[in-house]
Amino acid sequence: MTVLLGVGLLLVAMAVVLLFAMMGELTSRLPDQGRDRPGTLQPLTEFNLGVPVPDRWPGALSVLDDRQQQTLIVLSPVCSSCARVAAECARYGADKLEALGLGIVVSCASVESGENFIREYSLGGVPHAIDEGGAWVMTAFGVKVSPTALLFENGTLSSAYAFNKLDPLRERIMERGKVRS
Amino acid sequence: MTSWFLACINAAVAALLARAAAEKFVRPDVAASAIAEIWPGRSHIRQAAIRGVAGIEAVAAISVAIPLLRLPGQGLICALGAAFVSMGIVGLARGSTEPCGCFGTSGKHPLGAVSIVLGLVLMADTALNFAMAPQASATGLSVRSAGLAAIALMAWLHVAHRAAARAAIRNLLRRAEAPV
Repeated sequence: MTVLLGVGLLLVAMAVVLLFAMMGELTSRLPDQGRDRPGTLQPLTEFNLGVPVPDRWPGALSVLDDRQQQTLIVLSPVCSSCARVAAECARYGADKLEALGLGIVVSCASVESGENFIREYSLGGVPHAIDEGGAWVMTAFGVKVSPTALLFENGTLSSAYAFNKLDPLRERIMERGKVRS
Repeated sequence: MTSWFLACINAAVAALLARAAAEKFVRPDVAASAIAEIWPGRSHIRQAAIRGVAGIEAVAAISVAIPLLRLPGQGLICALGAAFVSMGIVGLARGSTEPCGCFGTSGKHPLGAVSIVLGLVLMADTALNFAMAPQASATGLSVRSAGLAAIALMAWLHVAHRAAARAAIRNLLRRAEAPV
């Protein structure tokens, strides 16, 4: 009887190992949905169009003061698209983002979770601010979804977009810059 | 004491063979490519043959848990060990670079030194079993080997998937946050 139990236990363990191996193989056959998904940039209709830029941007966003064109990306630690955008921002590089006049606002339940998000995606060098409870972006700019990009031109909020990848947003920012110049 | 020592060795070997069998069964193409690299003219090693070897490895693993099959199973383990040593030597001589996928497709080692070492371990296990067989109770040894092998397999599984486990636990414990 004891022998039967021993054999049964070993068979169950081997079956679990086989199951994990099969699941690993199936997972490796799935397309990478993040990478394969095309980038989208959808204009938002519900936001506070025309609000003036703050006299002074909060926190590390202050490097965007006195810029003719600024872009704020609103991210949340709980959305998977935000995680992908954050990873893309880290890969793109803080210097290049700052050159584009781009900053990040992390809208989160607590300052701690926002700081963890910044640390997790190595965004410490990017101009950023933590918005506890999302109060600032909701009240000042009427932002209700993330990830969201807020484009400020000539001192006012001129457009807002929902997006899922950095590239289309970057192209839009650069197009606007060319049109203006 | 002899029984526990032998049980630990048998459990380690059984876990090794069980894992190798699972990986060969799921991804026979990896092992087939590695063998085709060192065996010119055998570029069409059939995946059914690799799965057959996986079956033999599984039987060898289970044999440590069945008293009547313990010593015959050790013969099978010794044969597998000799095969691993042979392929490792040929792989080293021919400069094999193709991953053999012996213990998971995440492992990148080709047929070579690692195969030789593991083959020798299997053969040493056989030698120990035959040397210590009279001193160890067959039933007790088989039961202990089976239990320890199951623990070793589960521990190996947890270590191999520790990153995914940490992410799952982190998500479970994370406080609910209101999305913007």
